[in-house]
Amino acid sequence: MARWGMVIDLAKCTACQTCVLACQAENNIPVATPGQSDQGRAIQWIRILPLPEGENAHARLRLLPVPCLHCDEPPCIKVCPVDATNITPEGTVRQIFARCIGCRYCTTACPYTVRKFNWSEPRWEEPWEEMLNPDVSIRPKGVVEKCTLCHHRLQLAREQAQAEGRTIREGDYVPACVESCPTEAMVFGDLDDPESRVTQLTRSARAFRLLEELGTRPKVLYLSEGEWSGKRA
Amino acid sequence: MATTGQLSRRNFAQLLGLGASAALLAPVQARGLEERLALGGRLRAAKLLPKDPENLILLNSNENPYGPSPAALEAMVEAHSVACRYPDFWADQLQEKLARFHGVDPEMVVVTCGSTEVLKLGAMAFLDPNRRLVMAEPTFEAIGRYARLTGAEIVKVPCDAAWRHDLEAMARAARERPGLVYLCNPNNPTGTVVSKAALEKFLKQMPADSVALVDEAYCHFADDPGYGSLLDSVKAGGNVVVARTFSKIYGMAGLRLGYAIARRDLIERMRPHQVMESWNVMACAAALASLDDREFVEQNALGFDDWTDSSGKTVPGFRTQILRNFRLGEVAGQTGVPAETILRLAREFAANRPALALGDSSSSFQPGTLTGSMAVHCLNVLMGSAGTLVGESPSSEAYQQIGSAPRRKERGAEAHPRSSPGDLWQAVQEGHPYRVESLLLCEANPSVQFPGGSQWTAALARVPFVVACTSFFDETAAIADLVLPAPHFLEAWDEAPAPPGSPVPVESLVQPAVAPQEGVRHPGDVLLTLAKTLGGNLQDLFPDADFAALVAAQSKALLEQKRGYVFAGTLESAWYRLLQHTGWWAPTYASAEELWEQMRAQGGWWDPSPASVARAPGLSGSRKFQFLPPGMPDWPSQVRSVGSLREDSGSSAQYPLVLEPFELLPLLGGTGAEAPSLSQSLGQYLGEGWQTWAEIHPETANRFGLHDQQWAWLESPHGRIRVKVRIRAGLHPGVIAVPIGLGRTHGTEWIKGRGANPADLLTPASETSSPWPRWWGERVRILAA
Repeated sequence: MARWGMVIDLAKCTACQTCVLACQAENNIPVATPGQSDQGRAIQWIRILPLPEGENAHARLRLLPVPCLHCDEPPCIKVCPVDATNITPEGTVRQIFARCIGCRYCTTACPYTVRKFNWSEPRWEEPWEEMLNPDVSIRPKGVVEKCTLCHHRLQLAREQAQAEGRTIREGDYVPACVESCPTEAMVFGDLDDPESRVTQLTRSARAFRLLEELGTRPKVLYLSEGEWSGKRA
Repeated sequence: MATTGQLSRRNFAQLLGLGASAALLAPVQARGLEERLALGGRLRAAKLLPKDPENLILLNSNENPYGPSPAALEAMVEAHSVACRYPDFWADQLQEKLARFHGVDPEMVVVTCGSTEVLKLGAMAFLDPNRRLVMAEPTFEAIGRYARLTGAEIVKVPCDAAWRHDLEAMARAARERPGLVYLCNPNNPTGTVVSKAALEKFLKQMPADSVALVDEAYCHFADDPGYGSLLDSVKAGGNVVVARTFSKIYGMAGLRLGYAIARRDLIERMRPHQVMESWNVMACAAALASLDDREFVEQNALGFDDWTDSSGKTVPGFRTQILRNFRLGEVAGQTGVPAETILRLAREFAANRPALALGDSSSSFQPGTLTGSMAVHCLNVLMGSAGTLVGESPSSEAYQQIGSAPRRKERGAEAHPRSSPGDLWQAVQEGHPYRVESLLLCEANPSVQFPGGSQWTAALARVPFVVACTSFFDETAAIADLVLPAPHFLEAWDEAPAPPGSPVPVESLVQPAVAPQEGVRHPGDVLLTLAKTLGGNLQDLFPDADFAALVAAQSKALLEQKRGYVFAGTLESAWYRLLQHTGWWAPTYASAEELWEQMRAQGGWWDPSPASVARAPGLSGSRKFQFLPPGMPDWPSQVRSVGSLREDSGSSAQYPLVLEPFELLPLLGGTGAEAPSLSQSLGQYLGEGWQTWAEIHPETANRFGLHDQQWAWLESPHGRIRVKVRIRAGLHPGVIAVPIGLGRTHGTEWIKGRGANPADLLTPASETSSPWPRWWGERVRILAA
């Protein structure tokens, strides 16, 4: 069975936000109104995290695309009182919207702050609803949501594999963010396959995990940018 | 022509009756003319074996009395230590340097033992008993000896009365039993040249399976204006081998080093006949040092050094202008980049080859768009990287056209005077050169998009009939007399030629991704219908049925070019490039219809061949790079002034900060705010969206008593806007940066009334070296709101 993971090469990422927009369109995430944005209630399943350093001539701005990191030891699932979030056999941290009671313990527990609470009913103006993705359910007000690694794509790929009488394998599916990346900075695949590209990249000297010291063991890893080679975020 | 039979290089001087074919002339430092003549008189050429060879000038051998350059001598001394090595490494280096020097691929160069070896390789590779060598009489005879070994027939065509190659007779001779034609230009021993044009015509007349070997050993001495190297024909894929030597101008006759440049397949046919490892380490080292960058610049560019114009005045060259205008300390002060960092960057850039300078993408929101690109080009020329990846940029007009695909002639454009986008408002307001009766704006919203947009609003108010073709209901639509809803670019056909400065011609196709909503009409269709309705001349100029047909017609123009390829994957592109390098063009299409179908499927057309750079329109005839193109002879000085303040900006006492309006990635060109998903994530690096902020340095914030996230008024002498203060240490103190794209007064609830437009702080102005509106150079002050 595959164990899905991702490596993001910061030397290739230009922080263009294409992944952010692709994710928003793919997963039916409504655009927050300016008012909601001001209150910090905009929802994004992948966001660009800025890490500024230094002053004027020496200033550097590192920008990290941060989806849910799908930890092997996710703190969020431990605090859920209703098992609305758990980890699948393939290692994906999933969110079961119908079960979620909106207590927001998980949003507090997540050290990477990737979980978002729906503060209002999702709204799409005419004719936007024509653009909705029929494969992804719309989350109601009052539940927590987050990146699913485009679980619906995985399901479609799995059905296709079954129809062909085989098990699912790497390359059968990639999440929308990976598919859209214009510089191919994001690599997705099976971390249990020692030959897969994503596994090989995780062995790079440039590879690091966010807040590794917490022991969460994220399955989304980063490759550092040139000068920061070997340094941790 | 009885004499020509005996005329050869070795007895040429005898024939002239001087009896001094080996006149003993001391090198420059020594003897007087009388002594030289006396010496000369005492000698008999053919039998001469000088006892004192170091002091002789052998005129019949045309040796260079000045010898190798000091750099070459030094390199040879250093090369003593590697005499124990085989020469491959140095020969490879030389091959690459020669390739860069001449702007060809290394695989198109073979380094030989003098250019004489090229003649041998040519004879061996392209001749056999069924083929014929055609050569002039008299000419350098070496190739005849090698041709004889192959059993080929040798046809000597007498020179014409002026001792030039008789190209017509040679072309006739070359038609039968085609093999090799040897052209020595300038010719040895007659010293005559044939023009490049004549040779090119000659090449066209040659049979397809014959090869021309052009011996350009003396090319550096030709000053005939019609003379030109046939390297261009090599680059264009012709059946030509160009032979060059280090024996003559480089003064290295005794080191035996030459080279040939030709298409890869021709080189590959010649190479097997070469003696393995025939190069000499010292010769290679000397050659590497001889081909210095200075010479590259002198050969390939104009305007680097100061020169004297026709009136005798000294004109400052590129180098002088740079040294004058960009003193290290001043540049460090202006940019805030420490002098040692600049110095380190310069050293690293100059020391690492190959090095390529890359510029920012063109943006009219940055000062010095054109001059900045030109500076990048100049750096690449100086590093020997020009012409390979970055093309050439000889003049501002040509610069705009480089890389653009061949286009149909602009129809009827010359009849209508044009204004630049930066000052069109003035022409409309003043009714000059004519009163504007009606104005059609296509996806243009100048009142918002241009600095000092209120002048545009006033200009539009003076036009009796304003038509707005727009895909969003914007400020222009609000004051237009007629609004024609246009398709969004995702719904429309369009052409996208290469951006200025693209190294190769590209023609991308923009195709509708979704069906148009709400029955919109393409502005192009509107114009075509107008032309038809008006009839007469206009109807003839625009016969296309609709805009899509007009775009499709471009494929006909591309087909006529007989070059280039439809977009393809990496491997296929590499293959096409390889084919094109070796002179083949194997298009995947045979008709304009096929080309069109494939362009639709693949997205466009491009010409990956290096020769396409030379074909770019507007390039100077000499194909030399001009550091200071005509029309912009002092552009380096302008670079210095692009960051200067506007004439009408306020005093530094009242307005102590300098405004820097900037483009955001989601709102390139200041447009796109209509898409809520973009407006929401305008400045993710600050967590900003939906509103306009001003970035300032912590010191500046302190000075004005401002803190992060506070609202403030930004004021210039011309207006004021409300902004949110964001403190960023990355900014230069004294500068205040404000993003462009918000501050709209019309549109949906998502954009109307959100944020502010820094254009309101400015008056309209144009950049000095381009027609685009000028956004920078305004003084402002900031006050807590």
